[in-house]
Amino acid sequence: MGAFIVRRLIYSLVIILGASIAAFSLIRIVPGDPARIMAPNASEEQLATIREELGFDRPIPVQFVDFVKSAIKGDFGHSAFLKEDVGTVIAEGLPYTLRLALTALALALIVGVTLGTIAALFQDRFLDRAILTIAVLGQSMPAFWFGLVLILIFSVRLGWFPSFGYKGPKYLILPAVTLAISLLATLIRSTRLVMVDVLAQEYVKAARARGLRRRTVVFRHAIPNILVPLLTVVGVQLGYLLGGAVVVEAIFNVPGIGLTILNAVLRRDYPVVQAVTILMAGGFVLINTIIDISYGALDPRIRREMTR
Amino acid sequence: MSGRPESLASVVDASAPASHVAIEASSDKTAGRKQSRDWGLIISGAMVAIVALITIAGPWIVPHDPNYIDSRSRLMPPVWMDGGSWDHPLGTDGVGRDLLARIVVAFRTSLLIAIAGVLLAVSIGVVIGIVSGFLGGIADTVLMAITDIQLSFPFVVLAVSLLSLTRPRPSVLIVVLSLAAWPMYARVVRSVAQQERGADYIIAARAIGVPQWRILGYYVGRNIVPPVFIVASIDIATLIVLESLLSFLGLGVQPPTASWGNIIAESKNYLSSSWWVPTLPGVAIVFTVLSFNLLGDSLHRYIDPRSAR
Repeated sequence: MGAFIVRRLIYSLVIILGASIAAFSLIRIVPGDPARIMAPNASEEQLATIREELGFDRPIPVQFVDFVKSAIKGDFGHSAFLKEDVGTVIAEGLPYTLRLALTALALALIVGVTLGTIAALFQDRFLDRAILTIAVLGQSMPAFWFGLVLILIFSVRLGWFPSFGYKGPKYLILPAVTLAISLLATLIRSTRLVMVDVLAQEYVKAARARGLRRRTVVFRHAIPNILVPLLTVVGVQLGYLLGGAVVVEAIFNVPGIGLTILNAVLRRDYPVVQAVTILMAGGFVLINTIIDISYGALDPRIRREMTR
Repeated sequence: MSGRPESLASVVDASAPASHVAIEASSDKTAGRKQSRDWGLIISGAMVAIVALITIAGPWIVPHDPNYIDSRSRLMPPVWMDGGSWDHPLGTDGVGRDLLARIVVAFRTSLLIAIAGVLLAVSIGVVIGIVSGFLGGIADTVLMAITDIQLSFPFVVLAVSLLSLTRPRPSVLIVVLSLAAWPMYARVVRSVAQQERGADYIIAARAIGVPQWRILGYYVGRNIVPPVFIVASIDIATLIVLESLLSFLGLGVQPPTASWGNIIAESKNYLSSSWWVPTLPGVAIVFTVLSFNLLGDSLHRYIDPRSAR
């Protein structure tokens, strides 16, 4: 088990390092002078100052080592546009994004597992077909459009929820629903698939044969067993959740890191762009590593497979 | 991200850990054809045919030039609302362009970009997957690490930063979109190649002196086609959503060329007064994306009946 965790952690570090190098090099290897892109109207002298400040005048590997050194100390650089440290900018936005993402995830999990379980119990019957139709429909709706439709119905027409900014829990509902929809389809379908499998297992039949009620068997025996495989699905979906947060924050003007990076990209504020990109990639890898490790801890077969 | 359908593999094999996903090609090729009629395949096929028809013939049929600006008829409502007329069946946008014409010509833009993106992703993914799965060893480790690095970036963030560095052009857009899709092909093809590598018939083929390129291209290639086809169908849907999203953010298809995303972006401020302009293009997106998603699902059931259960 120890060897498994170590191997998994080392691999994740390599991936995070690779992602950081990629994100870091990206803006430096693209043709064109990044300093000129950042400040199109600056004089040659000003451009030289920008290059020096951001270290663009030195070789890329040197810049990267410097960046990592400062990053370890918690210094992610300085945003000339926001006149703030990048670390501060991220710290301000992160709570909004986490709140939005976790609410959406919880919402999608509750609805997804419920609908998926119902679909599995009524396999191949009308209810199953109806739920799967909802799933594929939800999967086919772009979040940015669905968000606008929600605003149209619930803010503009009915006036139930605000659609702009963030000043309290009420502001969270429409963005969270929008973000949850894109996850819902996957969760419904995965739950259904795993549940159908579990329900066909011997121990479920045995429990039924012992005279336990169907409801008891589903809640006490089946659902705990589908949660572990679902964890992996959630981990993979996390990337979409983070990407989706960018979109949803843009539509609802939630001041999270998604909106931060979007604005930074439009302003060519590279220190912010590279820090947030690396942070998001790192967070995604880290959470998936934790899921893989806990998965391995719960299921020895996977452990063996991975240490091979 | 938005509407990105789940990785197909994670649904097919939801119990496998993320790094070991696989779509198994059906070995039993006749099992799927025992059903007399597959309604899913018929309906989704018909929907895709409608999309194809609009894509091909649409721009010739629409009565208006999609870029013709008529400032006297700005924000006209669709025909079923008060003040609408058959002259502009879906009304007009903020500068008086015919909305129907713009939505219809956008089919071609979106589909061409999405299909090109999928083709590029398939080429990259198949090469990496075959090399990785068939050679194994260090090549496999390195290539799969690269795949994992690619997957670790939230696509929207990556796409937005890449597109901000260059002038948005269709060619750049296609390359960026293919980045979202290639890792899945690499993984799927790798797992097929791994299965086939040790198969008896491959060993037999080697023994009788079939050259390596022929083994890879023909024997392994044949087994790769069905799973790649399924993923590609669903990926067309995914890339259409991503393209519309990037165009919505102003980084994809550039105005005045119409795309569903940029029509919505241009008109989102009229949401409360003229709701039809930002919402109707979305209906076109949902129909198109739904048709390819359903087609992918049906093909999956058809080719790999075990998945339907």
